[in-house]
Amino acid sequence: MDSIWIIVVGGLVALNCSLVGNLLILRKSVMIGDALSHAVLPGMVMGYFYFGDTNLIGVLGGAALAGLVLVLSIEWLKKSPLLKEDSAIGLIYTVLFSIGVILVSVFASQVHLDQEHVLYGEIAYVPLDRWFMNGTDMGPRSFWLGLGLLAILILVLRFSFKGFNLTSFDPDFAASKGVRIKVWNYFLMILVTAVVVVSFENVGAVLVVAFLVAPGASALLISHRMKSIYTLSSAFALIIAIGGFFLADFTSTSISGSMAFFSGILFIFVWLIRKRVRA
Amino acid sequence: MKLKSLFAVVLSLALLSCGGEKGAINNKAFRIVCTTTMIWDAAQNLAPQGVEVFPLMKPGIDPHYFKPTLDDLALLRSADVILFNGLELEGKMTDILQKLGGDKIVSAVSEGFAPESYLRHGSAIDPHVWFDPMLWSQSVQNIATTLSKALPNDAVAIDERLKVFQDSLNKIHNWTIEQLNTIPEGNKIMFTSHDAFSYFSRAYSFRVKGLQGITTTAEFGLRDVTNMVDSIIKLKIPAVFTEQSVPPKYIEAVVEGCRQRGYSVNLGGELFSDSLGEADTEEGTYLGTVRSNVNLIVRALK
Repeated sequence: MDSIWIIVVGGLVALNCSLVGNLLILRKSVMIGDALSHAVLPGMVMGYFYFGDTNLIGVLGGAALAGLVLVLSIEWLKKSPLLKEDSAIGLIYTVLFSIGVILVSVFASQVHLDQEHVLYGEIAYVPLDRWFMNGTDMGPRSFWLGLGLLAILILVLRFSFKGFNLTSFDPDFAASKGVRIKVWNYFLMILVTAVVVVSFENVGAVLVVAFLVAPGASALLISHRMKSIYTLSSAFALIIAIGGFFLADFTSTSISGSMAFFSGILFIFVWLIRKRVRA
Repeated sequence: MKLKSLFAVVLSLALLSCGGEKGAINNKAFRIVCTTTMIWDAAQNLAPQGVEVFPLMKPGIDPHYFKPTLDDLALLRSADVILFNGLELEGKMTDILQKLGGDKIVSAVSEGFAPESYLRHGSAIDPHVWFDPMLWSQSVQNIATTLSKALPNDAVAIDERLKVFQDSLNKIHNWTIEQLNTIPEGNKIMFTSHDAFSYFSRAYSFRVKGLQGITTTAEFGLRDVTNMVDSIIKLKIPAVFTEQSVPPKYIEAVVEGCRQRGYSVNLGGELFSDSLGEADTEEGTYLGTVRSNVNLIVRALK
């Protein structure tokens, strides 16, 4: 049963990440995921001190807040013609991370406080971390979190498919049609922050970044239609979760490491066969 | 390309995976799973015949950075008793272990001592209790109590084993005092990577300075290195130590800093801090590890 839960939760996180990841890839800002993994630190530290160490909500909320500061200031900074997006990402996340590092060494050098300990989850523990409702075992907590997030994402994407599609593929055309690009961008970034922070808490950082990029990047190799990109990347996300799990099982190593590695394998595989399967 | 067939493949793979349940470890013997190698050693000394004792973390693993594999998960699942250090040593894993309870006995072996036994850094309790043998003896007592509760029929045997083990802890404590007394008073200071030896220092009136503080993840400043170099030169300390579970490069920076200021300080060697040595070696036991550390310290500072 443990194995199934790990695959299911891994698959859910992979699906969630790949759904927003696709849009990030099209906007060339997928490294926001990696930036978020560092930028959440100051918010986490403050949440930790404000709400106390045992309260995960404080840490998660703080992390999400710091994440929002990151994505919103990137959106704001990149409006300037003097700064490209990658510079904006690099600039802001390092500043945020360093604020976090300073906060830790000033207030908390004697406590175990960093993303690794307080925020990042470990996928191997997923089956053990159950959610009890009125004493009934409802299954792993991460499963319900992931499922809830997936439902929200599907709902949001269902109703804003066109908007995201237009503003991601061809922002200039969208602007000429009177679509409010800025609003869509901010909306997407808030969505990304929510997905990424919750996924960090479920499965850790490396895996989240891998899940954001690999399924979408592989799908884009063989398709350029939005609908099939979504379908393909979702399928790839599941393949990565399953394949990575068996790799970990076979080699008896870290599960998140194996899944992230498998996402690279999958990309290379698609790269090699892409000429034959253009969808 | 047919996306539906792709999904069918994925789904059937997922279904296939359900068959591959990991039943690697079959349940026969009573099984104790311990997080750190120190606890593992103690449990092995106490456990009656026919009981299996496994460590979760292997020698050389920094407990703050432990990453479990599927086998570790299966091991935890199959355990009848889980022993962990507590005091936040196991980080995020602590909550998980406590949730595992239910049909298992899960016990934090280094918690619940008298408040004055603990050293505090700010509001947090230093979890590295094991290198004060007398304090570790209390953890061992806790382990024995837990095991007796889990195996009531073996309570007498466990108690006998406890007495023997606590006796050897007493002996190693006295031996350590003897050994450390051969070090000149002015040299009784230990410079290491992180503060894993606070309890050791309190027990033997040894001064300990760690570069990184209590957690191995804290960033240390340039000033920390400079301060350490200053004290080493001022006190004319002959040697500094690295730790087996922490990368040596930080302490090497201190040695280099001393060299640049014209003072040659030796690398005293690698101390065992957050784990015991490799199993089946001299240092693979708690007693062997303490002996090895003390010998290293005496040799370097005498």
